[in-house]
Amino acid sequence: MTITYLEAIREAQEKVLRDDPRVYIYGQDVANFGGAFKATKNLAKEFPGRILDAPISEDAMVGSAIGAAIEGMRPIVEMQFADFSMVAVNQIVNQAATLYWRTQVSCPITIRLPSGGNPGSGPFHSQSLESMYAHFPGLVVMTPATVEDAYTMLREAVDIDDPVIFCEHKYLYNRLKADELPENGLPFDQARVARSGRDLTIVAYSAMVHEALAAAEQLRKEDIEVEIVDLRCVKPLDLDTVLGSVARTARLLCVGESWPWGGVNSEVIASVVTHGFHLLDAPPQRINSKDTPIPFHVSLWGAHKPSSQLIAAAARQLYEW
Amino acid sequence: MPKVPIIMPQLGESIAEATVVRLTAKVGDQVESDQEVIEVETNKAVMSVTTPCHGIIESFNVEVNETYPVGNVLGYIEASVEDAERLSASQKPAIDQGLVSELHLNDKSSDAVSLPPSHGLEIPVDDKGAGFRSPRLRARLRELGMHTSDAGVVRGTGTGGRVTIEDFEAYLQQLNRLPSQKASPMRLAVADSMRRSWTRPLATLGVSVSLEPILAHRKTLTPSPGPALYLAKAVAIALSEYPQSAGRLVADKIVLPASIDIGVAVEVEDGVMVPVFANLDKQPLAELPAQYKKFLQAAKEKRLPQEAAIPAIATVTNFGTLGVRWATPIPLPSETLIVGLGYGEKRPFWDEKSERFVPRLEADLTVSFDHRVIDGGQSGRLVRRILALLAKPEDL
Amino acid sequence: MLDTLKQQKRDVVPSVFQEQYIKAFKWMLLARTVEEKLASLWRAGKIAGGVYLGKGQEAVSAAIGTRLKSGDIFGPLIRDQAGRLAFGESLIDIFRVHFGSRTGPSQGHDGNVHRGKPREGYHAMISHLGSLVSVVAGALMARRFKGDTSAIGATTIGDGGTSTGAFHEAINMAAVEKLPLVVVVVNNQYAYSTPNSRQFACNDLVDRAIGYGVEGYSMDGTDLGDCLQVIAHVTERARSGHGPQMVVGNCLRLSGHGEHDDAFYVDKSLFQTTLGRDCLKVAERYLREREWADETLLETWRKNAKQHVEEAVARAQREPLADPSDETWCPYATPRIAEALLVR
Repeated sequence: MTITYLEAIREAQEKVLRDDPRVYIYGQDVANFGGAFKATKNLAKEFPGRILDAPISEDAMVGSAIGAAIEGMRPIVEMQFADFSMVAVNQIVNQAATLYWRTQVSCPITIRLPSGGNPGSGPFHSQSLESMYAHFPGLVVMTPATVEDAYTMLREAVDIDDPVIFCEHKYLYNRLKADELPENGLPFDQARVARSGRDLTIVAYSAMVHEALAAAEQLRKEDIEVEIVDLRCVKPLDLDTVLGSVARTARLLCVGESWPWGGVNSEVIASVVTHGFHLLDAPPQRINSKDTPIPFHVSLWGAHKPSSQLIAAAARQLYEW
Repeated sequence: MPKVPIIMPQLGESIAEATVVRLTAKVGDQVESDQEVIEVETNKAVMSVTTPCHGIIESFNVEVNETYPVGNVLGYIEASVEDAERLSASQKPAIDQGLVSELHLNDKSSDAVSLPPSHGLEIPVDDKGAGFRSPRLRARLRELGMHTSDAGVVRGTGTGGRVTIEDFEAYLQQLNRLPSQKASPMRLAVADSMRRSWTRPLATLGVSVSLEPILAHRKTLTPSPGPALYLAKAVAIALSEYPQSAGRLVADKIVLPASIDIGVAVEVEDGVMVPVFANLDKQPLAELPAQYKKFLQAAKEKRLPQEAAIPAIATVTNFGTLGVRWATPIPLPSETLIVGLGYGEKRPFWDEKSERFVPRLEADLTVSFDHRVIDGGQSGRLVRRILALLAKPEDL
Repeated sequence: MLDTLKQQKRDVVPSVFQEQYIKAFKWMLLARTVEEKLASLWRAGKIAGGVYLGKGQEAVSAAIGTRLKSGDIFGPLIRDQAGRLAFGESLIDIFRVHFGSRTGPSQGHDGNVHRGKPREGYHAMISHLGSLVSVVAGALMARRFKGDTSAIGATTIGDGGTSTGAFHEAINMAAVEKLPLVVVVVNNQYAYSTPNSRQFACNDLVDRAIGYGVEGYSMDGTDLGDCLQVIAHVTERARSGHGPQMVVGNCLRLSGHGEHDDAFYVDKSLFQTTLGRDCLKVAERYLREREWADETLLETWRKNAKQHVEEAVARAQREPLADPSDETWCPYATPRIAEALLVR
């Protein structure tokens, strides 16, 4: 019996719907149709009246979730694609993220963002927006890389009192499988050492963890032992685990699928240089997607985002520095 | 006839695989291009896989109810040569750029992947080898209270001959096997001072000086001053006449001395102290021995009186008392020059009058200076003036 | 629709109407007094940032505030002092928020009109117009989930705010969900300095109601009686399951956009029309005509209002202001996150 990353997301929602009467799901095509990616498949049947189809109104979807959260509900908003959440940025950033600061009333909403690239998806169905959302105080931004994390972290996202941007990677939906789902995982705000190694630290999250793992496997054959830190949640950022790893390896390479400017990679590197300069043997490096909109053609797309071979090459260079 | 594969297509956003529901054609069937031949089901919908071209179904590689990934070959069509060529040229299946594409992974050549421009990665030429210290190595040195020069001896095995932390730790272990003792605060202070001085281009010149006029003159004074005091007084007078020789170069300025304060180096246990005679050019020679005696005693106790613990503009060091003939002492960081005196000995001196060598009591006098501030000519004039003053000690 | 309304107006029991009118008038008067005090404090440099007043819009606002019941939801906008007071806002909180008091509901984190007690159904607006409509709608969805079918929600917006995408999205969504939402559009003729002619091209904003599939009404925003009647009607319609209600109240903003704005751009001839009347004066005249209050009684009410306001200001001024040295600088409610931030 195997379970996919996508099924884990569905299972997590099923569990919170069952356990917590405050939970409901709002989004386009989520009810009868079961969601564009089938992340809410059959939930409408199982929980009548709690899975609601929304008009194509991302702003109102999030605004209403905020109002419902104020009244004590725990809404889950499904964006059809992460890219479309940009229409709701005002509600997310100005209304949800500031609510607790302004009024001491918390805003426990979860906004699910099917994120990241997929072959042939082009500029408006491929974006990774975690860096942008992480910029705003008051938001929690989760980026699970494993089936297990997708399951336990989504439940935590619903459970915690702050607005959560839940970046689930579309590429992993059906490709990533696990044997079973755990009851509990690491707390959402703790990074995980996904692989131990003495020579070099790669910090990654979401799908890039798997690219980094593949690169590490190759480098092992060259006797370069890579340590991989899976951030799991990019805001708040578990800097302690990152610094702990850099203290062991003295070399840092950050990999993220979002664009380079002012992003998660930049933040990790800035923090490590500020708090752990004395740990470093070489200048920290980063790999992001190229600084252009996301291309449609499969080959262009493959070269646009960080890949395992690019990571391996950068790691090799950093190791030899 | 050539074979053209029937491929599991990309059936939608984020679909990685599909399950075969049934076959709608059988092996041996004549098929047209784009004919539906396999029904598959994804988690979104039931769809059909179609043929890439006209031909005869050669084989199916699938089982009903089994799941196959996108890009998989599901079967083959016997097709015309033209079709086969056309399809192999233009229809490379949309390669799944997978979680891991093994492609190129082993290829280390630079065109295998285009690395993002990295302006920080090339090691600057000047920083190769022992000259480069990584932040971690520097932090380790600091932690141990070590100066970067303390690690200069470590042989680097890193890229470009750089010293890695492993090289350094190995060196430390090696050090730990040798006997050692704690350095005194005085030693550490002198070391620090010398390191800071050594950042400048220092030069030394030396001349012979006859000690006989001094020895004759000192008999006339009680208590009688030693040669170092004669020299200090002569240096003071000479510098009062050539104050720019004691100037300090700071940015684009030569900072001139406000008063002629001369230090005299005194050897103490595990180091050197330098009591300073303030306004020495204006002090009578006869009064110096008493003052010097007091300073000497204080220096031995490593506690100089306040009036002697001021910065000097130059130092005199009588290394002759250590039995040394010639040396290149280093001026303090705040001073531009230091004047040294070697031990006195009888040397043959060519006497022009009697046209023969006569024995004469001589010593070597050295001037070590910051070459940025003064050069040969200027230091030469200064030395000639000192020699003239030492030749006529009654003028001091 | 308007015909039915006129009919109803006549049907109201006169004594009940008198009581409601006087109650609403007192909130209008208190709001006007509060805002005059705010303006004077601002001019004296006692309030940082801006002060935004609702002069000329008290009738609409008071009518909404008095027609909502305890347990209802209210999402006021910038010119709703009267409605806020009528809905239950305490006088001292107004000044606490303007001063940036540590004790106020905003603790110095936000100021002036950005205040509320969302858990008590009184929402705190952000500056982005239109974005509060969906929040109030969402709060009503929550009530429906919880089985509370008696509560309604009301929110206000200006003529300019109706041009936003958020307004459109929210009212459409509320209509789809058939929520008991009252949206009151106060057309005060200007969005900051932009006149109606540069804001929308429809004949009357109320014409939009039919497009959204909601019930639409117009009212004279300068006439408290009309406002009370119409708002009474729409709140009742919403409460009895007739879905969202859209009301357009017409009036003129009698102040600048904020106290920094002298409103030189306002067409002076508007002051000669019904739109340009001061609703407070209109109401006073009505009270005198009906002999529900004479000048002596009015003066007593004014004095009372003033006294309450002065007391609230004096109390608020004695309270400690926000202080960077004991600020926790934590925008997160989740204890784990807050604790981690404090450690840093």
